[in-house]
Amino acid sequence: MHTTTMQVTLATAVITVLALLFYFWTGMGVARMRGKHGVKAPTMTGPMEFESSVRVQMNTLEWIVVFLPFLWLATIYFSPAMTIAYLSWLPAALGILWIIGRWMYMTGYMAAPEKRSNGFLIAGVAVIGLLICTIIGIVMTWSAVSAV
Amino acid sequence: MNTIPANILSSAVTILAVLTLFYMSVPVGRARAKHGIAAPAMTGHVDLERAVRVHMNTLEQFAIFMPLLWVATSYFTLVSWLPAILGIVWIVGRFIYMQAYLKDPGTRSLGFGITLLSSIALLILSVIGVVMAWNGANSA
Repeated sequence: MHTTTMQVTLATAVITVLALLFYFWTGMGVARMRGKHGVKAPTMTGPMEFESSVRVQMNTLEWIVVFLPFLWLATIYFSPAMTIAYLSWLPAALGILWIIGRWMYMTGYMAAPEKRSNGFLIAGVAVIGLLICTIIGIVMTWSAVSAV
Repeated sequence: MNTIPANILSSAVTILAVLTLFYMSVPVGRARAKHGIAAPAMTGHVDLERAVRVHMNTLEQFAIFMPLLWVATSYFTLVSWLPAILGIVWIVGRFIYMQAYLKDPGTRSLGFGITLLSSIALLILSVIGVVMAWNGANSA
């Protein structure tokens, strides 16, 4: 494997670990709110702060299953297809953007549910960017394979 | 065990883990039928609510476990079969969690703890593997 490709893949592995740690943190938030408000399992409703933490975790789960496959598909197909080295770092950069957006979503939502939009949109833009990278990468790789 | 490539071991564990996740949805259907609670209702009887939480929590943990299993399998080459073994531990922990939670939610900690420790161990292997690979890539 080319050195840049190896490093980009490693960066994606690091971002994957960071994204999973963030997601785990949202789950810990639910546990914290269970303790704070005395909401016992399996109850999933209660004070707004508890329900907000549940929504933060669930929405992060809903998005991480879209985010991680696109992150890896973009890393595998888009990055090696880029002849300009810094463009091959785009999936990793979008991965970091996603984590930042999700962090803003969490802190916004826990402050007040209507403050969740900015973070949600930033993370959404990152996922759309990764989708576009994935499509470009697959088309370019497909063309290269067909031309052989 | 050293003769079987790590990715084949982890592939087998992946299939077992997916089957486990699927199996965790069975008590939900059973509770729906037993207590006559039609979809999309997610509440109505404690049996259903416990089964739903077992299934959801397994999905939540699965989303953490599966990527870490493969990052560890891809990069942690010191003891190549270790990620797959930790995967088996995760699956066993999930079954203990399910058995306990369906009987009494207060006893769910042991199974949860086993799966959590397995994921934390995979996280540590992932970090070690990535750092080693990073050093290797830069010194190449």
